[in-house]
Amino acid sequence: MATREAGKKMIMLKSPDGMEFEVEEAVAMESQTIRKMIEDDCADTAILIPNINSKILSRVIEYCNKHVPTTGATGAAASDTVAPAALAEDLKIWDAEFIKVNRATRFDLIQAASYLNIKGLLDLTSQTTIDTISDNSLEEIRSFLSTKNDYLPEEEQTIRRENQWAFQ
Amino acid sequence: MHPKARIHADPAAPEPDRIDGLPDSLVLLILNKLEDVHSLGRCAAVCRRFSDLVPLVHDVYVKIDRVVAVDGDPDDALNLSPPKPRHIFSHLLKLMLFTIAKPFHGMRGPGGAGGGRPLFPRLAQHSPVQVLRGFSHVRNLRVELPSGDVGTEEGVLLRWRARYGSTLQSCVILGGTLVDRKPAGAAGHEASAAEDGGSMPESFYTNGGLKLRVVWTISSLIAASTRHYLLRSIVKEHPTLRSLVLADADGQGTLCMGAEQLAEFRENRLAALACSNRTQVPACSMKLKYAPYLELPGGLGLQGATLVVIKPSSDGAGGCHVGRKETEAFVSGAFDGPFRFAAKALMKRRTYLLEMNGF
Repeated sequence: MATREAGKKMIMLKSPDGMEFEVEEAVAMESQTIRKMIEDDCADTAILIPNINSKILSRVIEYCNKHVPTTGATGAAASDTVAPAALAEDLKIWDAEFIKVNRATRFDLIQAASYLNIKGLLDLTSQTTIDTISDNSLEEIRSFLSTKNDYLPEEEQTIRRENQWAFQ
Repeated sequence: MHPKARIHADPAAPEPDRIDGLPDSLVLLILNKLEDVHSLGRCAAVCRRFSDLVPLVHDVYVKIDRVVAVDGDPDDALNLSPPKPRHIFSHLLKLMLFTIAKPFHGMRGPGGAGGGRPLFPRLAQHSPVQVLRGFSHVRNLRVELPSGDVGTEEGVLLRWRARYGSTLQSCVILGGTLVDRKPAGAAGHEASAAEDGGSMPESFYTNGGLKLRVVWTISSLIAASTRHYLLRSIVKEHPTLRSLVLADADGQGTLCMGAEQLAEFRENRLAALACSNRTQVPACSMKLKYAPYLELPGGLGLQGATLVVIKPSSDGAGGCHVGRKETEAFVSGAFDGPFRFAAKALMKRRTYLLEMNGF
C-alpha cells in the first residue's frame, strides 16, 4: 500500500469513534451506500459512517480491499494474468479465514455490511450464521445465537407441538 | 461505557454478542437464506421474536421424507385444519401405510398408471400443506420429493422438466438407454451419427426403441400431472407465491411454475381426473429428436439419446401458446451440466412429430 499510483482518487472514511481511514475510491465503492454518496457528490470531504466503530470499519475496509475488482490497493496488479477460477478459489480461502471471528464481531459485520450495502460481505457473514442454525437442535441454536428463551414452559410446549415436524 | 448510559439502559437490552442486537430486517434476511423448513420450524421455537419473524420468510425449501398413499377423500387428509394433537395424526397414519415406491414404480407401462390411490408427500408425518401453514409470506417455494417417480432400468437416463399453469404448458424430456463413463466405441458411433443425418435407424420402429420413448414420455407426463395435482392446496393457500418448484432428490423430474403460471392456476379450474390422483394431460404435440450416441462433457457418453419437447396442441383449450423462442429457451435451460449440453445437441437433430390425445 506504500506506493500508491498517482491519479487514484482517495476517500476519507470516518468512524464515530473518531478514527479516519483513507481508502481508494474504488475500494470504498464496493459499498453501494458509499458509491451512491460519491455519485451524488456528497463525498467532497470525509464520509462519516455512523454506527460502525473503527474496529469493525477497518475489517470492512480489509474485505473491500481484497474484493475490489482487478488492480486493488493490495497491489495485486497481476490479477489479469491469474485465471479467474484460481482467483475465485483464492478469494474463497481468504473469506473463510476472514470470517473466523467471534460472534459479536460477526453480528457487527452483518450490520455493517447491511448498512453499507456490501452484498458479498453480507452473504458471507449471514451464511456463517446460517451454518450454525442448519441441522442443529433447538438448544444448540439458542446457544449459538446466544439468544434467550422467553417462552413460558407451556408456550414452548405448544409451539413445539405445532411445529412437531421440525423436531423429528 | 459511561455510567449514565447504564442508568438508562433497559435491563432487557440486547447484549452486543447476541443476535437480539440485530434489527428485524437482518434477522429476517438470515432466516430467508436458511430456506430449510425444518430449521425454520425449530427457529420459530427459539424465542418469541423468532416465532414472529419466521412466518414472514419469503424463501422456503421443503424436503419431503416420504410419500404415502391414502384411502378415502384426499381433501380430508390434506385439509386437517389447525395442527392437532398427535394422536389424531397417528390415527390418520394408520390409513396411509405404504410408500410411493410401489405405485410409481409400477408405472413403467402406460397401462399401469390409472389405478393408484391418492398420493401424499409427508414430512415427519405431516403434509407439506400443514407445515407451510405457518408461512404466510412465502414467495419462492421449493419442494423436493425423496425420489423420482418413474422407475427405470439401471443405467437408463430419464430427466424431465415441465412448466405448468392450470394445465401443462410445456414439457421437455431427455432420455438415454445407457449413460456411461467410458465412451464405448465412441468413434464408430460418431461416424454413424454423422452419416445418418440425425435420422432414426429403421430398427427403431421394430426393436421397441420407439415404444420405449413413448413409455418414457407418458410416464413422465403422468408423474408431472400427479405432482401438479399435489400442489393445488399449496397454491390456493399461499397467494403470496411467485415461484414454485417441485423436484425430487434423484433429480429426475422438475415441475415449475412462475408468477404468470401461478396466476393462471388460480384463475382457472383444474382439469382434475375424478378417478385418479392427477390432473388431465391435454392433447399434445411432441417433437422427438434422436441421436444413437452423444458424447457429453466430463467423459460421459449417452446412448440412444432422445429429446422430447411437448406442447399442448394449438387447438387445445387453455390457449397458452408458447412462442418458439420461449420454447427453445425452456429446453436449453431445462437441465444442468452435461445434460444441458445433450439437450442443446439434440435440438439440432432432425425432428419427428407425434400427436397425442389427452389422457
